[in-house]
Order: sequence, then structure tokens, then C-alpha cells
Amino acid sequence: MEEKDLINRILRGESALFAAIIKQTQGLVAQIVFKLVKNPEDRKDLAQDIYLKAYKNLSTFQFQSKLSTWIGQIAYNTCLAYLDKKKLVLPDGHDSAHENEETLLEYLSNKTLSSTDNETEQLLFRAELAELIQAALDTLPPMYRLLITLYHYEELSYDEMSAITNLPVGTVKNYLFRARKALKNRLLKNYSNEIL
Amino acid sequence: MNKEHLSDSELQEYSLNGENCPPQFNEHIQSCNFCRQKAELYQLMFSSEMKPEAPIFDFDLTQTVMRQLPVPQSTALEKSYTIYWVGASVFLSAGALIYLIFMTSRGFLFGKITPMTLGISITTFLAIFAVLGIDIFQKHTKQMKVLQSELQQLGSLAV
Repeated sequence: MEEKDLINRILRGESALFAAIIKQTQGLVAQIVFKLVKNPEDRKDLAQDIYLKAYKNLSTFQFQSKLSTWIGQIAYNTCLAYLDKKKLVLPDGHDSAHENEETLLEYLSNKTLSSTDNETEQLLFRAELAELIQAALDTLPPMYRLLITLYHYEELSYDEMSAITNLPVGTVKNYLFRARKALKNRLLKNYSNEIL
Repeated sequence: MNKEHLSDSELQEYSLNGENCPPQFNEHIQSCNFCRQKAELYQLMFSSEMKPEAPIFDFDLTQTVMRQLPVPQSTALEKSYTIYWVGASVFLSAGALIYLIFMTSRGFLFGKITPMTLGISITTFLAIFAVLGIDIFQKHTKQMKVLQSELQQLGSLAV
């Protein structure tokens, strides 16, 4: 069913069809809520709140963006209001490069690209690295976590990310650059702790 | 080459855009081990094999939200207007019928009944009729609400 037809039918009273919208968009909403909010109970309340707001304001949707972007915007604003309420500011990352960056990179490069290691060892190492990346991502400021997730994992465009976060495209690009750099530095720090 | 290493911004551009970035980036990466390793790390960090599992809510979000949705205002209003129109029509028709019967055969039907008794009888009849009518309306509204919530649950399962 077309997005427009679906919305018009819901607005005419077929509220049961709203379930289809939830199913289509809850992946993106989960990414936003999980990246911005740590407490599982609060996530549950926020997710419900987001969709109740979306249902209540569905008649104001102007079809100027994708419905998922509009709901993502509601999700982001709802989480931001929650963060403000809990006096949790979005901290800025001040990550500097690791002092042994060159050695660590050399070591990592050998581990990931070396053809002499056996295949099982390679797979195990890559799985371990994926966990280290996830752990490093979890320590980043919420905004950085969110932008990396939306761009690299949800594959949203800069325009969509700008619409969701209500930030100019240039700011989104700048934050994303800083987020990647911070993630790389934290990954190297975590990695150095692992191997030392 | 006018500088020792590429900046983080240039390395990220190289990692994300590959062949489309300025040729001097490529040249530098080919000759500088440190920058090549850094670029490879950026590429690896965001490669599909390092992509974490997407988070999922540990409860049925669709069901939980659907149970809380209010009955659409317009539909509820339309239904209540219909009920009022039907009720008013029934009352008017019944009133007109009683009036006609009363006017045409009052001598025959109520010749021996005093006006006081007649008034009390009609008032009692109308009061019982009104109480029954209100009761039926309340039951109907309650049943419609139950039906509506069951339909919503069925709808969320079906979609």
C-alpha cells in the first residue's frame, strides 16, 4: 500500500492500519532510542510515547519527507526532551590520538591483513574486533553514537539525518567526522588495553 | 608532497569515497604505510562485517501501542450523531402516533378515566420508556468500545 493511501485511510478512521506504520519504522526508532537512552525501562516508555505522538499528529504530516524520517524526527525530539528532563547533556568528545598509534596500527594491520594466519584465527580476531568497536561506540557521546549508526548502519543520507536531528547538513557532516575520529581513537585505546 | 601525513579528514574522505577522492590522496596512501594503515582501519571499522546487530525492543511494541490508541474522534462523533438522529426520529414518530390515537379515540378509550389518572399513566409510561432507552444506549456504547478494541488487536495481528 502507498504511504499516502495508508495515512489517509488511518485518518479516515481505520486506526488498525497504524500497526503497519509501527512495523515499518520501529527499526529506525529502536536505533535512535537505543543510541540516546541507556535505561531499558525508559526506552520502553519512550518508544510508546513516540508512536502515540505520531498517531496524534498524523494529520499534520505534510508528505515533504519520508514517513520514516518524520517518525525518526519525533523519536529524536522525544529522546532529547527526556535527556533534558533527566539533566543529561550531550557531552562533546575530546579524544586525542593514542600515543602509540603507529605501533598499534601496525599491529592491527598485521593481524587483519596477514595471509599467514590461519582462517579460524582471522575469524576469531575479527569477531573480537567487532566487539571492541561496539564497546568503543557505546562509550561515545549519544549524539556521536546516533550519527554513526544512522549513517553507517541505517544508511541514511545527510539530508535525512539533518531532518531527523534538526541540524544543518554541514553540522551533521562535521559531527560525523568528529564521531568517526573519536571512535577510531577509542578503539585503539581499547585495543591497546587488550593486548598489553 | 607538501606534508608528511594526510589529515584525519582526508583519510576519512579516502576511506569513504575511495577512487573519487583527489589523486594526491591516492599517491600518498600508496607511499605512506602509516596513512594506509589508518585508512584501512577506517574502512574496516565501517565495513559490513563489523556492523553490529540492530537493536530490537524486548516487548511487542505494535500490540502495546495499538491497545492505547484512542477511538478516532470523527468516527465517534459520526456514530453519536447517528444515534441522536435515530433516537429523535423514534421519539417523534411515537409521539405523533400516540397523539393521533389519543385524538381520534379518546372518547372510546378514556371516556371513564379521569384526566389525573390519564396524566399519571402517560408520565409513568414515558419515564419507563426513557429509562429503558438510556440503558440500551449505554449497553450499546460499551459493546461498541469492546468491539473496537478487539478489532484493533485483530488488525495489529493481521498486518
